[in-house]
Amino acid sequence: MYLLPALLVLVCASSLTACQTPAGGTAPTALQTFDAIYTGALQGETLALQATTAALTSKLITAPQAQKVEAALDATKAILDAAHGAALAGSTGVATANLSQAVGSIALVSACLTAKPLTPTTFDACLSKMTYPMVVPT
Amino acid sequence: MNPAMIIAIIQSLSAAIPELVGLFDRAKSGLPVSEADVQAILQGYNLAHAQLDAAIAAAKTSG
Repeated sequence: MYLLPALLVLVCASSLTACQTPAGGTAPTALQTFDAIYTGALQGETLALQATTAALTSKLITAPQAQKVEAALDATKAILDAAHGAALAGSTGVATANLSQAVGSIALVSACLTAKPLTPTTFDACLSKMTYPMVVPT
Repeated sequence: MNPAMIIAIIQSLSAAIPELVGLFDRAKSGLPVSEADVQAILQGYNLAHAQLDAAIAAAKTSG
């Protein structure tokens, strides 16, 4: 369930124009389409933050692990914002590259949080596969 | 993991799913999101971030 939003973002992020299929009226600009994908990715990040909070309060993960996830999600947010800036500047390729990186990171954190069984040990093993996403420069 | 923990996590995830699906539906159909939508999502993000900060602080305090 949790990976579905991330996969949807990837499908749309693969091309900012691929999701423009208006049923009628004025076609949205690439920036408008990007805004829809950006907010979707941001909502995915919000879900990951909420799941991390729930896992921490249920003692399924430790405070240092939660801090590591938070740091990764903060880095991801910075990349999303960089993608937004690139989209505003008209750099569609850079915006798409950053968006894809951010979504990949969200998907990995999501996968770790929904792994079964979820314990501090299994979560650590899953997080060890994660590398911090890097901003693709404009 | 006991059932209550599983339910707590699922509830936290599922609460925002309809809104998220709606956003992607808009992206797929070509309908733009409004500035108000963006601001609402950002507020939700900031709230979730603050809640995680509070949970981390509480977990550290309780040892």
